[in-house]
Order: sequence, then C-alpha cells, then structure tokens
Amino acid sequence: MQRWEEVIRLFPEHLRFKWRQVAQQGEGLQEIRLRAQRPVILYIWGEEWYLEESGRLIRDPAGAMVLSKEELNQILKHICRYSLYAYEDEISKGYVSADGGFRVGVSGEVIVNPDGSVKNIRYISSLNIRIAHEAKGVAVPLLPWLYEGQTLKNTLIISPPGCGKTTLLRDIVRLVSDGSEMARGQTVGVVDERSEIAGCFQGIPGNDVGSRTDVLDGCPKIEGMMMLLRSMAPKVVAVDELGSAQDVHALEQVLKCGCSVLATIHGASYEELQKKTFLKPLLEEKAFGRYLILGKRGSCFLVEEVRDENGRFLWGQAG
Amino acid sequence: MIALIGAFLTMAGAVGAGICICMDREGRVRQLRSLERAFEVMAGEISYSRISLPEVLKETGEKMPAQDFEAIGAALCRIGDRLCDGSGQDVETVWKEEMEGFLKQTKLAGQEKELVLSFPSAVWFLDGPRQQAAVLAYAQGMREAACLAQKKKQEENRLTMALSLACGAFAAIMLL
Repeated sequence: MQRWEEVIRLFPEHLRFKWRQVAQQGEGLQEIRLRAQRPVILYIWGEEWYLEESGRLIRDPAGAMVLSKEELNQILKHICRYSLYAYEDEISKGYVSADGGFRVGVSGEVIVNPDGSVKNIRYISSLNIRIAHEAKGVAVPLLPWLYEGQTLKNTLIISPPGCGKTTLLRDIVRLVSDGSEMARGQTVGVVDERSEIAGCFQGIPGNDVGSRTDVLDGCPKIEGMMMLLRSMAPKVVAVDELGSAQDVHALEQVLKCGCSVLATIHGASYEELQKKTFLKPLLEEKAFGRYLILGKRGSCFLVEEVRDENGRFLWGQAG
Repeated sequence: MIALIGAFLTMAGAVGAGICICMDREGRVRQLRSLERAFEVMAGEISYSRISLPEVLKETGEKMPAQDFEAIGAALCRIGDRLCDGSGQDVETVWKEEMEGFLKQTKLAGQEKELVLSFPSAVWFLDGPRQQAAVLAYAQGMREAACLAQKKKQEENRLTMALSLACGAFAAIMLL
C-alpha cells in the first residue's frame, strides 16, 4: 500500500474527500494539526499550510477550514477504531498509535490520579498526526563510521526535536538487522516505548526495521531493555529518547551484557550533552563510540557531525 | 367415514397451527438469549483482552454457539471485518446495515430491535470498566426482554393452544 493511501485511511470515509490532496503530499507531509474550532494546519516540507473546506491546500489562514468538535471526534473515533478504552494506556501518555505506523499526539483535559500521576485525558481537543517516514538508505553513508570490523560501535544520535533522529535510528536498525556491505545481519532488539521506531500496530511493525529485529512495543525503556536481554538475546539493543538516570542505568546493564547499543537523545550539540548530568556515567566511561549530531538546513535534515568516543570530529565542522 | 377423517384432520391442523405459533414465541426467547450472551461475551472481551471493538466483534461472533453462529455470530463477524477493511465506514453505518439484515430474520419486537440497533451509541468510553458496563447494560436489556418474553410466552401459549383447539373443534363440528 502506498503511503498516501495509509494517510487517507486515517480519516473516516465521509471526510476523505477533504484529505485526499493532503495525503498526496507524500514524503513532504510531516504533521497534521487538528484542533477543535481552530483552523487545520499542515506541515509540508517544514512549511505551514492550511486546508480549505473543499480540500485544497492554501497558504492564507483567512480561508482555512475550521475543524468542528464533531469532526475532530469522528476522526479520533475512527483512528481508535471506535475503541477508546483499548487506547487508555496510550492516551494517558499523550498519544495514540494508528494503523500504518503513525503516532497521533492527543491533548485535552487531563484527569489526575490522587498521587498526581496522569490517569487519562478527556475532552480531547487537539490531535497531532505525525506522519512517520521511512527514509530507507539515509544511514548507508554513515555505516563506515559505525562499524569497527564486524562490530557495531555503541552509537548515540543527538538531535533537537523534529530533526529526524528516530528516522535515522530506524534506518540504522534496519541496516544492522538485514546486514550491509559493512557487516552481516545481526539480531536487534528494539524497545519502542512510543511506537515511533517500528510503528507497530497490534504488535506488527508498520515500518521496515529489518528481518532480524524483535520489537517490544509500548514497553517502558527500562523494563524493556531487561526483558530483551533475558528473553531475546539481542546482539544490538536500540532505544529512543534517553531522558533519565534510570534509562542510563538500564543501558549500563545492557552494555555489561556485551550488547551494542543504538540510542537517541534530545540535544542541539555535543557540548550540550556534557551538561546532562544523568548521562555523565556513560560519557565518563566513554560508553558511546560514536556520536551523530543532527541538524536542519532549510527544510532538509542532515547529519552535521560524527564524533568518536573522545568527542573528536570524524566528520563535520572540524573534520 | 370421510367426514370423520376430515374432522380429525381439521382438529390436527388447528392444533398444529397453535403449536407453530407457540414455537415462534420460543424462537424469540431463544434469539433474545443469544443476543444477551453475545453482549456478555463482548463485555468479557473488552474487560479481559482489551482488544479494539472490531476484534471484539469478530471474537464474539466466533465464540457464539454453532446453532446461533449462522445468525448473530456471522453478523458480528461481518461487522468486525468491515470495520477493519480500511473502507472507513463508521460503526453506526456498518452496525445498522448488518444488524438490520440479521434482525429481519428474527422474531424480536420493535423495541427490542431498536435496543440492538442503538448499540453504537454505547461505544465511546475512555476506560475499560465503563465501556464494559455499557455493553453489559445491553446484555441486561436483552435478559429483561427475554424474561418478559418467556413469561408472556407461557400465558400466550396456553391461550393459543386453547383457542386453536376450540377453533379446530368448532370447524370439526361444522364439518360433521
């Protein structure tokens, strides 16, 4: 199935005529922002567009279609297959995984448990449909830096939000799993806490993450890494968005077991990484053999720097 | 002799017609019990496996007893399949189309049919326990309707059999 067909299937039948042109934007389409009683905003190749009632894309917000609460609910119901209860856990974390590997962010009125944790979201008023892209082959030029012989170096991808770190991680996972000119295929375990890497729907990856990849979907990183080690014996473990000391501790356990690690983290530069105190143990141990720093130039996302375990440039600004 | 045979056949025909009417009523009770069971199984699937509605419907359809599968089970499976086929039809439309077809084959009363057709309005709960409770309310509705139909059936069956016997006897006397 073509990507645009998967996008159009996110919408109920009677609304599809409005979304056909949007879906046909293909690779350029990044986000669809739906807000109750507000204009529909689309991000295509990094630029903001609006949608007319007829389904035509326009640049002027004056003629933009205002989404009714009813339509927003219909779209949400359709995405959740008329089963909000089945998405309770995901909604409480702020998103819904949709068929086709898409992740839909949700916001509205939050219901809080007595202990302060989030129980659920009701009166959902905004949806952010993030169009997952498979950029197959983008990691191929990086492979010579990622391998030492047949061994994959522990790699950390650093990037600000929306610069393609998950897309790059996904392609590296695919290449490591399927094998490449650099090395034979290896068993990869992916802990996909937010269903963004593999884009699983009902347990089956929507994105190509390779033939030797096992995915723990919707599983917290810390438990997921341990589960993979115990049960699936991966050679490489991949996780998205390290963000706490517990994540780092779990990663240390993985490294002690002799697995290679592929991970991503929010950040704008290598220098910024040094300021993240929770990451210090890994940095001091020189646990990561490679750092890939991503950036954005115009509407293009690119790898700006490749650094080694000591932070020396292998490629990029000073390389 | 021929008149006697004719009178006997008339009596038998009248009793047979009475029995048919009684069996129709029995069928209605059985169909209501099947629907009650279907809603109960659906509630169980929602509570235990937390799968989405289309899968709940398919699982329930397959779990219905063989004698009921052809009717309610097959209808639920078709609804589940149509909701998953990517055509984007909403649950209200699909449920209405398939259930109207199924209900035409049943002997359910108008109010009972309306209750079954209103089911899509109950699938909009954020949490499993409330969704399960909403589906169980339909099972309860079917149970109450089945109990009422059972009670009514007994009273009406007695009356029907008495009337059919009386009519048969009257026609037989007239023939003789």
